[in-house]
Amino acid sequence: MRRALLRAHWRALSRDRGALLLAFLLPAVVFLVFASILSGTSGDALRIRVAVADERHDASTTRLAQALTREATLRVRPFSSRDAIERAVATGAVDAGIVLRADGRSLDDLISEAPSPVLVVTHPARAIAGAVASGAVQHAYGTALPDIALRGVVDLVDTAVVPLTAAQRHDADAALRDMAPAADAGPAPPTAGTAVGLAGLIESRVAEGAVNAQGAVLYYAAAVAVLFAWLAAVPVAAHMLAERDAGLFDRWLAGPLTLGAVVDARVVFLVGQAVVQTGIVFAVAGVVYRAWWPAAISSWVATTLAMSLATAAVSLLLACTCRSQRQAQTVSHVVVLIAAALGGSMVPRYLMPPWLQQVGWLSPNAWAIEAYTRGLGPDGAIASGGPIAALAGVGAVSWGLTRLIVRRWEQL
Amino acid sequence: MWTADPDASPALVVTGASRRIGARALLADVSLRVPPAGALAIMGPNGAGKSSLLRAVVGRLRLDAGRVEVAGQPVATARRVGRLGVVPQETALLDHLTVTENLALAARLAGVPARDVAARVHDGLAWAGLEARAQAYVPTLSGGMRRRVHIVASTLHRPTLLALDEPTVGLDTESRDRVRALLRALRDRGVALILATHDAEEAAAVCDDVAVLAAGRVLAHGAMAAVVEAAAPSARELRISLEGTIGATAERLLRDAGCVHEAEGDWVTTALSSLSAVGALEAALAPLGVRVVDAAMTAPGLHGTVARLVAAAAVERPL
Repeated sequence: MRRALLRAHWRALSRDRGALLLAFLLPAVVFLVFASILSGTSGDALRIRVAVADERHDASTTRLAQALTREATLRVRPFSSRDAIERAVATGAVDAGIVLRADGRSLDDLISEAPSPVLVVTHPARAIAGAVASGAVQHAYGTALPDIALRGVVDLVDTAVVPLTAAQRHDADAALRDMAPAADAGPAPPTAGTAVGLAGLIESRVAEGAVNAQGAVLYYAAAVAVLFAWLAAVPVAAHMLAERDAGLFDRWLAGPLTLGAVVDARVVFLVGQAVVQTGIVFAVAGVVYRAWWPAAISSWVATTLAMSLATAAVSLLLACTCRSQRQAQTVSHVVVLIAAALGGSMVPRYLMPPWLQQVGWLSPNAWAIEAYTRGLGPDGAIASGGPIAALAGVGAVSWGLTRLIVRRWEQL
Repeated sequence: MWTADPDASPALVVTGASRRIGARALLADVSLRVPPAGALAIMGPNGAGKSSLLRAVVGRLRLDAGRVEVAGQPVATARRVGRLGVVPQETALLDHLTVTENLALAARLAGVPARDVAARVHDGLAWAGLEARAQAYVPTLSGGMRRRVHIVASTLHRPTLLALDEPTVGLDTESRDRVRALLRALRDRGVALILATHDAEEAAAVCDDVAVLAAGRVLAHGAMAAVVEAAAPSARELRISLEGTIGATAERLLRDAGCVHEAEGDWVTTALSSLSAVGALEAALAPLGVRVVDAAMTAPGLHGTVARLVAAAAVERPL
């Protein structure tokens, strides 16, 4: 008897493609996404997007800028000015910025009171990216510019410890000259060299206009809000099939009602539900973490409406292409979980390998998070306009397609 | 107390309705008529086209040819102005709403003005004897109560024609009787009914007219007594109850004797003129493990008539 029951369970599972996907394929897909992010087993290590501006343009800064392009953890984009970098970091166009300052000490100067020669510009929402950029600067400085680093040490010894004789100074200069070409010859192996003379090399600060202090809170508020907008929309959308199968549509369609109106009402309900849900998430962020963005309220509203429309309409579109409520729920959960994993609702996208970041742009979660983090930054609604338009566009198209599909249910 | 709008036009006129999907005819030149406050039972085997006809009547089956008019209006217009009501086979109610909330929603969606909804719901509950359960959630209702709520929900907008699909299927005898009483009460209010059913007793209890369908064609249509009389070549029919597994050979013997299957173990025939004629059939069936346990001469009934018409049509033109 138990065997008969087991067989019946197996048949139920084996004939439900959605359940098979959920049970066997989805765990493997989610594992691969997390494995790629957390252990670099995809063969493509963590590489953050970094803007580099060389304001000084001397031989040392030129060499350091070139060395940075060879750093395995960075994807370098050259920028012309510090202001441009500040804006790019604040709006999320890059994960961090590196400025080789004109107003700072030279790279071989460990003595003067001038500001540090390297400024790392960070965003609170991507604090890890700032740490990675600083580490890469130190690595490049220590391995690709050892002569510069040692020159600073020699000068420091000469000035602060014991004055060098002319002969000693001559020998040191000769040794440093010999060291320079060898260091510039090629990319430094990740573990080669010793970082020397790093005290005071780097100053780190938050980008001008970047959302202050609670940037990380903002990121996770956005990530959680979009994830739960999906999770709340899926059962409501799938219930439409239960209503159809229960004969409700048969009764409703005997009167003046059309299924287009049924879809419209559901979209409006789901958008309202998601707006309230998202408002609660951001309100909790405000109360608990004192993270308020009153100046960006219009951007927040636009992003929330667009995100809510996209999650509602796509959920309805998925549901109405399925045969039953159960199938719709299964398929939608597969889509939602993959969209969440790829789109940054589970792990920040900037920690993903570049190829996965590119794939992540297929997920509305990525657009929503991008819209929130850009929209609450310095350029507000302008910066978030692209992602908002993408969300609203997908929402509108999905809504239209859903209406077309359900029209076929009205008349055989 | 309300009554449907008095209207001289027939409640339903179906003229030459045809629809094919591939090689299969869902409806083949179907023509029917239901008078004001009349009631027509649609009978026939599974796949005969009963549900397709109901879909066509409510405008949810596109016709290749023919037309449907409800109360003198094209069906699309009749839908818009609330002349039509539908009682699907499934009890189409939302579990998370109370009885009153379900009815209020149904009324609004059927086009009842918001100001009239509460009064209509109140009247509907009183009419169906459901006031005591007005605030109950649907899953707490018995099957019979759900079916009554279901019917009330389909009539709050006071339609001229109500299409019902197996309205009492799965109910116990008492609940069936109450639902049938409701349907008769609807007729008293001037609502015409078109009712798809397998149950001859239900058809006889609620309807005056019957249409027998098979393979999308109307085999007979008219007053119930006239259809039965026209289909029965004699005034009596022989009803035989059998016991045992009826295999292909036994079935062929029965059909050769002019018998048609009516229900589990029951066969009827008008071809055998007396009880003594059963003897030969009994002797032929015995070696096949089939025993005649009862035989009676009765007046022809609707069920047997439908079975006979369908069987004759199958012989004439394989379904």
